[in-house]
Amino acid sequence: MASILVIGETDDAGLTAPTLELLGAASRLSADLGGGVALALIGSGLADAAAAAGPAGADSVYTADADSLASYQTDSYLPVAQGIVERDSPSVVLMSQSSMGRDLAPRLATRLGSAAIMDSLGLEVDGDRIKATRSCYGGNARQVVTVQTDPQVITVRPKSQDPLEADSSRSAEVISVDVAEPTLRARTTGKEQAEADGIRLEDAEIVVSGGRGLGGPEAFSDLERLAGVLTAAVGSSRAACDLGWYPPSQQVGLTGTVVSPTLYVAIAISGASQHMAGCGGSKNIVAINKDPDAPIFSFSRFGIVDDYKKVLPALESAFAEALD
Amino acid sequence: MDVIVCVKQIPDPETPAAAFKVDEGAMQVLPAQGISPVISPFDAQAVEAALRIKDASGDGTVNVVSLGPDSARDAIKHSLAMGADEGYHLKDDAFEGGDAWTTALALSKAIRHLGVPDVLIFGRQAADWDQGTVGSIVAELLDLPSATVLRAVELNGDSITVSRVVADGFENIELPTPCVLTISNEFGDPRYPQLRQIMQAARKQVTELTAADLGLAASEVGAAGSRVQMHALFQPTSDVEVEIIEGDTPEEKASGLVNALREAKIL
Amino acid sequence: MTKAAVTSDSDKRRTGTTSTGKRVSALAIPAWLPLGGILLVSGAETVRVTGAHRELFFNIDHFWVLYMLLPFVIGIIIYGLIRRSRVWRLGRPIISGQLSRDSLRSAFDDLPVRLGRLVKGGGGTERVLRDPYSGVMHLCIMTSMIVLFLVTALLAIDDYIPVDILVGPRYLGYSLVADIFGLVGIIGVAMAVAHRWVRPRTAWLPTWEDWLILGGLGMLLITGFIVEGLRIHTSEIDVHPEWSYWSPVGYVVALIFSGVKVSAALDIHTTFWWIHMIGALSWITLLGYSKLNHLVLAPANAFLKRTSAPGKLDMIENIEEQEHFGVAQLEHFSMKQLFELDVCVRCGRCTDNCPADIAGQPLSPMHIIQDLKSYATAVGERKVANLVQGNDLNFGLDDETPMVGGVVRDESLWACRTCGACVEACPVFIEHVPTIVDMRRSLVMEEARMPDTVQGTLETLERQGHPWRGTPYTRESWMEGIEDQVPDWTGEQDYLYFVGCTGAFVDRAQEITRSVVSLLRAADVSFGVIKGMESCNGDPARRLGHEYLYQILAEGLIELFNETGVNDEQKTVITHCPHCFNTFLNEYPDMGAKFQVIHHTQLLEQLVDAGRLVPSHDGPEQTITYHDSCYLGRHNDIFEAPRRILEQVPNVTLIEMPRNREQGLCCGAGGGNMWMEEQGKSRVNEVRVEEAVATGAESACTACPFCIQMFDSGIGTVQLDVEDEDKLKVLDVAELLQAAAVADGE
Ligand SMILES: Cc1cc2nc3c(=O)[nH]c(=O)nc-3n(C[C@H](O)[C@H](O)[C@H](O)COP(=O)(O)OP(=O)(O)OC[C@H]3O[C@@H](n4cnc5c(N)ncnc54)[C@H](O)[C@@H]3O)c2cc1C
Ligand code: SF4
Ligand code: SF4
Repeated sequence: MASILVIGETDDAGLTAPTLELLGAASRLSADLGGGVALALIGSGLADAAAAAGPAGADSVYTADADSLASYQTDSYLPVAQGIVERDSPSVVLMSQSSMGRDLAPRLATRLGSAAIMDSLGLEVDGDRIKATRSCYGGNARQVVTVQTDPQVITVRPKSQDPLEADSSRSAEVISVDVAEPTLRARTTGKEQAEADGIRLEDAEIVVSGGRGLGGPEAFSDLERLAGVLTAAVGSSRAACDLGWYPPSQQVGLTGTVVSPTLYVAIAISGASQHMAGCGGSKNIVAINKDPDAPIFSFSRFGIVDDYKKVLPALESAFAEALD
Repeated sequence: MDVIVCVKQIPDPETPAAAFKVDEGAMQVLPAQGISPVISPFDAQAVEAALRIKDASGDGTVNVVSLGPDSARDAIKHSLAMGADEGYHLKDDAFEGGDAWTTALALSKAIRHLGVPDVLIFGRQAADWDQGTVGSIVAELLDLPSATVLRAVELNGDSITVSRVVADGFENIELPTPCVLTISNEFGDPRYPQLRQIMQAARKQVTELTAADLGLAASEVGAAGSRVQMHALFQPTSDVEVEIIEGDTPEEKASGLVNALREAKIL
Repeated sequence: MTKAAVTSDSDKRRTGTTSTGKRVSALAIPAWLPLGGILLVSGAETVRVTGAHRELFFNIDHFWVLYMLLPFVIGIIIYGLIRRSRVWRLGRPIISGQLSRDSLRSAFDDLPVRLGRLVKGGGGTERVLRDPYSGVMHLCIMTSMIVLFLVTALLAIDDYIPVDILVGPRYLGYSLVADIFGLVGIIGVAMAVAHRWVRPRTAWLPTWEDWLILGGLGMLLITGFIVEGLRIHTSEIDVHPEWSYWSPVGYVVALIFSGVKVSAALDIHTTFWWIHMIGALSWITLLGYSKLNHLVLAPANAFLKRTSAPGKLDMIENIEEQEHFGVAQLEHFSMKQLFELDVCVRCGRCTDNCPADIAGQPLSPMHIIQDLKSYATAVGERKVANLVQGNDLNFGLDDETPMVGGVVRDESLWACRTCGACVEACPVFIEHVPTIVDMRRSLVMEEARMPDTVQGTLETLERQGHPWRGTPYTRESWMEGIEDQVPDWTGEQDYLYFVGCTGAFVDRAQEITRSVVSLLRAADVSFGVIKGMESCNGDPARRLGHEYLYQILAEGLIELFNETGVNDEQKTVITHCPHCFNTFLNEYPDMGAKFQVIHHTQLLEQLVDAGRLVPSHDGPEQTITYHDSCYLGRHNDIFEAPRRILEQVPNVTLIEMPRNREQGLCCGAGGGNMWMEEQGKSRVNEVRVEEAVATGAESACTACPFCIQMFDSGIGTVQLDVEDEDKLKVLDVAELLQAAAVADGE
């Protein structure tokens, strides 16, 4: 019996990065909490991923391997996950705040007679509870919460935890779980890839915006490349739209779209109040402007004072490297 | 098609950061001067989705349920003004201090009480606590199929086809009725109510239901029944001063910025 | 609440202001001087001639036919007008906002004002003359018609009364006058025809009406001269040639006909006489069926126009009990509004002055009026028929193009700045703004159909009590660091400084707010600020068509004013926003406001006059152009106070833009357009900035926080390639005065 069960996810490359982060967090927490770390993998063709679980920090790994589980569906995954948790009876269940985690965690917790905490940024042991710090009020506030019932189901925001250094000397016991033929009520009938530039400005987590200081329409293709690296949407100031450098649909501001992404990168934008009205709610603003007195800096968390033409190529490769 | 939408009244998420204040002792957000609470934007979109289903099916009702203090009435009234038919307000001192679980429990009882409709719709999360679990918990308690974080909902004969927002795109899912849906911001803007409907909504009776009406003991709901406990609520200390990333070359500045973003866990 | 005394006294439109209107009417006088001279000389000349006269029905039998026709003609005209009035009467029985039992009274309140306007404007002078060309053209035709009508009437009267007036010298003078004015009429008609070919404008669409009216009039004048010429040829020229010189045009025509045998000429005379007379009678019936009706309707409209401030919108009373909000159907308009449609003469002046049209945006006030007029003709008549037949008003009209959204497009309604330039320009006193806002009201309140940006603005107003969606500031941000210098309102002070939303939530405007505070302190004015508790007065909601939201916001603010002792005749509210000013001054009395209102430029002017603020002589030499805010200037007649402040700052040279004062061009922000995205060829603010730049001034000064933002934004585009230090600077009058009159560190 493990103290912490991580419900992991896999992709073509094996365990996903958030799963590795969860295992890292789980092994750190289990040091204080006592007990081991188990990983549950639900899917099809899991052998390789299961083999990577030990080096990544799991003591044991449950695999529910069936063609019917090839992709996540609530009705097929829920009973399997429930079976594994009941069999392992951990005191903590960790999941990533992914498409799967946000759908599965609350139903699973309820089915297990407990409750879930979503989208934690920080985890800390307090007796037999995990104190989770999470963001609320659209990022304006943080709360610290515990689940009082067992198991404590917690989803964790990707990138908020560090994975362990892979240790190939470690291995995990693989426990294979029988999978019954699922009864599907809701049925996934197909999937659409989001087109590369299909991220709606108002829905994007990251927005890269350019202004009049870009000097011409050509620079917007550089911005689009940077946005590609960051999976960001591209916005623009009205001045740039007015000059016909970028479509008006991408205008951010009072009379354009209002965005509140996690990260807003303003490149060669002065920060007029009408522009800020559209992006002032961003969690973090980063400004690149050659004028150290540009108003945009007073709204920014980080800034670079330089000609964007010099910084942009360097920035693109730095981001590409960091996100690889 | 009969639809029930569950909505919540919350402090305006567009409150500027400068006006957002927390009472850390009481673990409460202080109401901002002059800024009224609003229906959670995802919930308004949920009402919109419900109205479109009703329109597409040609008959049926859209009823709204909200649990909360007196101010929750306004969320119900807003939904009625948008075109919903009846409103139900779960209002009881016993509900106070509850969490997602107790809220979902009371809502599920209320839905049983009103009769499980063809479709139950929620916002993907209430934009105050940003948890996003109530819809799923209700689905579990009522043992209904669910699809969450949807950007499109379509009526397809007796079943519902939805498009779910996932990390790399969208999934199409088909659900039988009755089912539970949660609506995401990608759904698009909710309608702006017509004045006549606002006025009619203002006059409309909202049915109040207490814990006892729903067969719930005070110990099951509110703070007493909660499964999640809050220990602290605070505002993150954001550095008001901008941090200018210095460096001798553009490359240094660029990598300095990337590192800073990683340290701040923004990337 | 009465207009603060200072408002009206200190800023009565001064004589000698060089508005175009005044210039032209002044021009018109010298134009008529030579005429007067001719009359005088000829008067003296005629004394020498005796016995001259003319026979009324010379060479005409059966002239009684004419008298028989006259009642018919009058009947036809009256029938036309009555028929038309049935469409007007579809409207609500309201003249200026009050309910029906008050309608009549409200149509006659302020009688002196109305009569004055009737005489001054309704007579086709004042406003018509503002456009030099069409002013003179109109004057020619109008005076010619009046004189010729009197001349004809006089001849008839003379014939029937026992004493002969028109004999001898009097007759000859009479002849001369008639001839001259016939000629003046022909000149006017020629100018009008040329106007339609030589000087066509985009707004111009001459139709059958124009050709019928002008062609008819030209024909009448020419046949008149032919008849006269033939009469002279056949009966006068041989007998009393010296009489004929007193009909110079007729004399020339007579000479042309001199080769024609007298008997033939008499026949031709008879024919032309009848053509002339029947033509005249037919032509005059156009009065009931074409825009010629402006002869009667324009003076009536001058009389009926609201006497309230032009910037005031009428309140929808008991809004909760209304069956419809705003105007979606003809019958939702007031009778006055429907009547007005028929008064329009399609002169295009409104559109020529409309900022939206000037910037190539989808709005032409003339077309709004004209399209509504055609709709009222087509659909209104059918509604009338339905009423007559006892059908439902809208029976059989389901498939008609909707009036709002179809006949008048949404984007036109949204493009309106409510700047009032059209209303100011209209020679027949049509009020476009209430008509446009009424339709917006329907869009917003009835149909909830509006651009996203409008919806966002209204939602922010509803929820946050201000229109600045997404602002990072609070109501108190502007005070940061100077809280102790801003006195709290205690109820004891004389003045409440109402900062307003823009003054608080927009960084550029915060600077103006601080300047005003610093000036008030420097002049030791007893004032206070209701810190953090203000809310929007509702102006944006009202202009955007959300009357209900306006009333809610206004009630809330008045309640605050009541609680804090502001709503008192002894207290004065200072605003630096002309929109707040207009709403408080003109619209809040309807909501129960009693306090006085003063704009900061008015107060600052007083303070400078009183020596309480002394601009120093050390300032730099600078040239400044002043931009009139519509809601301060055109809507509230405050043109001079800000200019006089500028004039009193040493080393400042004031340069006017060609469009100034009453003719000032809107910055583009009015009517809620501050929060909308413009559609069209260019932006209004860029047009205006170009005008300001063209004056060569170093700075533009204004007195409105909206104008400031529009200028700042426009300069970025217009002066894209200009070095920063050479760009046009934009300042509020208060900022300029502060720099000149308040020592640093104060
Ligand atoms: C009614 C109204 C509504 C408006 N609505 C909006 C709106 O919705 N959205 C909006 O954006 N604006 C809006 N505006 C316009 C707004 O006021 C500003 O004019 C606009 O945002 C300025 O755009 P900008 O920052 O791109 O240009 P600028 O203000 O010209 O700023 C350019 C910046 O680029 C910097 N720069 C120049 N060259 C370089 C370089 N090589 N490297 C790095 N930096 C460089 C400069 O230092 C400067 O700070 C509105 C204005 C009005 C009046
Ligand atoms: S008020 Fe101004 S913007 Fe509106 S139609 Fe008249 S001139 Fe045009
Ligand atoms: S509304 Fe007035 S200004 Fe405009 S075209 Fe008609 S008459 Fe002329």
